[in-house]
Formats: sequence, structure tokens, C-alpha cells
Amino acid sequence: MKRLILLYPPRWRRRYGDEMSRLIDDLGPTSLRARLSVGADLLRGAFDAHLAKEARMTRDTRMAVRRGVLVALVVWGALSVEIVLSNVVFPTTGDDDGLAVLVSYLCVFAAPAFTGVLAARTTTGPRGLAAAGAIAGALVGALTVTTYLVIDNVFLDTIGRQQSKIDGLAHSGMTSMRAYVNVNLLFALAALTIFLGVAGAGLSVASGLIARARRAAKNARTV
Amino acid sequence: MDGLGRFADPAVLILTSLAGGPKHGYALIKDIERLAETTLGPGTLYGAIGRLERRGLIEALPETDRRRPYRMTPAGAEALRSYLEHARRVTATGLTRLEAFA
Repeated sequence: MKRLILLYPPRWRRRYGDEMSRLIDDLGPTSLRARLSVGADLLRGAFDAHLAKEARMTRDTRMAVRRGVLVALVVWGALSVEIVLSNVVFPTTGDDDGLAVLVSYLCVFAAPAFTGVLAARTTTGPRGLAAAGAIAGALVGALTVTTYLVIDNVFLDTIGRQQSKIDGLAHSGMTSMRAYVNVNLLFALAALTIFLGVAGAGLSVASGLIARARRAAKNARTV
Repeated sequence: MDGLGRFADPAVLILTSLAGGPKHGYALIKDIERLAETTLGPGTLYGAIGRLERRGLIEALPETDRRRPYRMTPAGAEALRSYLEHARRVTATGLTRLEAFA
């Protein structure tokens, strides 16, 4: 009967294994029916202990992912304002918004990196950091391209006067500006979401591990 | 007792038993048999003990002879009191309505 304790997670066995073994001794010899009942109870308890362990692991990861989502929403909000300002409120026909584009790209990559720093405060391992960064990166990519999809379709008359769009349409062989814009943006939606998800995971793990190492070094200096 | 899942009922029984003083696993099982006429298996008992301990509702005392006694914390006493007062209100209302129903 006590062998069933081996089915519990190692950490659980270290904490309660001896006590439970002693309890089974204390319960003494019992009928076959009682032994079967205790055996079934131990099996169920082992299953619950594994589930509880999983739940604790995913709670860390869930918290990290929530931070990733929050960072992504903040960055997406800022980028959306920039997109509306530069394409609708103050539209230009040329490519003179290089600085704004550069800052936007930096924000897109900074989001998962910052997520990694935040997630490293609570999450236990690289898996949680990667999940949070992947969500942050993919979400920024998907939401930002979706914003472009909405803006470009709603304000197609304004967007269609941009020289880069006119040149792109001419080289694409398409005859409709709306179709050209949408095909490109749908391709960007898929490609950017995947790329930023993967890149975000890497950036988040790297920044999270660096932040954790820096904190450990700082604590060591304090001690 | 929120979040204890299937261990909510055993948790109440354990806290009620510990309200009478610290006990180890075997003493808990025997006391609960007397007060509630139900027998907790070792897996259920320690599943509930683990959850109560993680929530700070009970705490372990030093082990003697591979038996570790547990005692209820002030937070555990508050949680048990809150649960039992709620149960008492539900019981009173249920009994009153049953009298009117009969």
C-alpha cells in the first residue's frame, strides 16, 4: 500500500511522504475492502497532487502572459495613435516619416524585451518568459497590422494618395488599390504575427534572464 | 474555503477538529470519525492538509516519531468561523422554510 506514495510528485513526497507512511502504519491491518478504499484514495490523491503542481506552474506562466498582454496593449495603443496621426490627420504623400517608423519598430521589439524584465520578477523559468514574450510580440504585430487594415480601408482615398502605395499598385499587376492594400496587409498580418511571436519569445527570455542575473548580482553585493 | 475544490469539505472537518487542539494525521482521522461519522482516506487527508497549509490556515508543529502535528492559525480560525456562520444562516433559513412547507 505504501508503494502508492511513490506515485506522488517528489516535492510532495519529501514534505508529506513520511507522515503519510506513518499514518498508513497507524491505520493497521484492515479488511480487503478497506485496503482497496485506501488504495483508491491514495491514487486519487496522487492524481490531485500532480494536478495541483501543474496548476501552480501555470499560475506563474499565466501571470507572466498577462503582463505580456498588458505591455502589448499599451504599445499597440501608442502605435495606433501614431498610425492615425501620420496617415489620416497629417497625411503625406512621400516617405518623410522615417524617424516615426524607426521609433515604431523600436517599440515593437522593446515590448517583448520589457515583458521579459517584468515577467522575470515572478515567473520561475524560461518557459514562462518565452510564453509572455511570444504573446506580447505576436499581439503587437497582429493588432498593429489590424489597425492598418481598418485605417487603410476606411480612409482609402487618403491612403491611396501615398506615393509608395501608388508605386506598389503599379508593380503588383492589380487594378484595385483596396485589393492591393488588403492582400499586402493580410500577408503582413500572418508573417508579422509569426515573426514577432518567435522574436518576442527570444527577446523576452534574453532580457528576463539578464534582469534576473543583474538582480542576483545586486543582491550578492548587498549581502 | 474558496478554491479548495473537492477538498473543501475535508478542509472544514480538519479545521473543526484542529479547533479542539493540535493533532497529527491519525488523530485527525479518528477525531473526524467521531464528530462527523465519516472516514477520510490518507490521500484525501493530506491533499486537504497540503492546501490548508499553503493557504496559511494551518501550520505544522515539530515532528515526533514520524508524526507531525498540525495546529490551526488565526487565519484558519477566521476562515472556519466565517464558513460556519454562513452555514448556520443557511441552516436556520432552511429549517424555517421547511417548517412552513410542512
